[in-house]
Amino acid sequence: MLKEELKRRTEVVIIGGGIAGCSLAYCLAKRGITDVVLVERKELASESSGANFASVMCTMIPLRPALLPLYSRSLDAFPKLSEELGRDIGYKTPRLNALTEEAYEAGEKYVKQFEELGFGNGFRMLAKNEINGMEPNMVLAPHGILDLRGGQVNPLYYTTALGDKARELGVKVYENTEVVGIRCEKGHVRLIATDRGEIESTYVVNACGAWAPRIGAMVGLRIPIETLKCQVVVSEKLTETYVHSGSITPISYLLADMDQSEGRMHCFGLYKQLKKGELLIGITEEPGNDKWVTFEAMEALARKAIKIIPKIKDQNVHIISSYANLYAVTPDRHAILGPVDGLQGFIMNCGYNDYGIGTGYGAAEFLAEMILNDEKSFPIEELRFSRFSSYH
Amino acid sequence: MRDQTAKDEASAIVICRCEEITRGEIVDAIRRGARSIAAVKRRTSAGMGLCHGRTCTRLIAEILREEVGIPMEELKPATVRPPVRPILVSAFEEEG
Repeated sequence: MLKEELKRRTEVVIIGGGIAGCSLAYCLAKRGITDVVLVERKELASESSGANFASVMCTMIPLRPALLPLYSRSLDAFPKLSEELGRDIGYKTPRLNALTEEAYEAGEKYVKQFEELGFGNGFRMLAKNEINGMEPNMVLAPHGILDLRGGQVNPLYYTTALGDKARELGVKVYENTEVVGIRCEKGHVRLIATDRGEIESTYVVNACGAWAPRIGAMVGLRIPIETLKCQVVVSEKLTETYVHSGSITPISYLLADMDQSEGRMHCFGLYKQLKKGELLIGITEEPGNDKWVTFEAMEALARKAIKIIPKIKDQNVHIISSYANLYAVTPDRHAILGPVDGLQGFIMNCGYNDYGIGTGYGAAEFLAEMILNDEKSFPIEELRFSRFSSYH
Repeated sequence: MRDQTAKDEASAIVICRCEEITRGEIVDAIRRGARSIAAVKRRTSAGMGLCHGRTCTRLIAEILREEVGIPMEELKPATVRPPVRPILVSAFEEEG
């Protein structure tokens, strides 16, 4: 098939067609900036944005308050996005975090922290055993936190809808196009070289998730992102509702970090039922950079799921699919956003760890406003690349 | 008038039985920007169900050829994910 001729010069080049890149393309186009090119090595939503647990959650926010503005702006957008994009993005609330007796106090403290951050109305502690009434098919710890606006989206529909809408508004989207180099001059980015030709640009955005370090290396930056492999299995479609809430953690690892100290696979219970009826049974995490689903992971996930949702065994539910993806993990678990000191025009939009789907849109709004107003810094200091001063 | 009826009828034909995706939905995904079987799958879920696209893959390739002229031989099937056949959750249970 003949590929269309590349645009030779543009205002903004976004490298990466995942949730970070597609959100930014759409947020720019929505603000009237359509002289934008999005370059994707594969196709839109081909990597982690298309194969994740699709959670809209903010469990980690009291630990990392710098992320709250991103999450908050995403949550404001979710209820409106399906209509705006002309596509059902599958947003379903709420999110439940079940808590054991021992974790109850930590949970209360956690909800209080949200109140202090000005986010109190989004959360509430459940009365003892209230959670069992909400989820009669699940074996859950007796206490819980209700996250009213958290839950799920369909990450494939959501990411492609953003990219497709950006294209409709005038953004050029080049799929199957790989960036092979970036040229800089006198401390400015000037152009990107792809396997299909060169494109001059004022701004170049690195939205490459787990592959962001490769793009960084092209301009002499060492971006400290490592990968964590995550696996999920999928059930057949069920006509009955097994899981009512948008997303559930049956025993919360509240205020615990996702550090993988032992370097082996961990299996966390995380469940949801998609609108079409299939159950997503998650998740395992382990260091790794391949996307093969292992028997070991399937087994661990299925065994845990039978304990939490016994009905899936009694009703002879089948597993029909599975997938793996790679989180882009940063040393401090914060995303890397905004300009880079000493290299004008180069913008970071990467390092989302396990919360890209829930926060990527909010981040894109901040970045789009920054580009629109020609600002030279990102408003949230903790998320700037300059925090890794030793990596220049 | 008759043409329109024929068109509507064609749009309503179910292409992916497992996920109940119609021809109309697939054409819509192509008009939004899908240019491969995997790209159609991401936008519609066609081929994601029980049979992993055994029947609909070829039909979707046909629609892509009709709509945007991509030759069938250039269209690779989407990734097939394990398990190849549906497996009971209980098959993974510990014995004893």
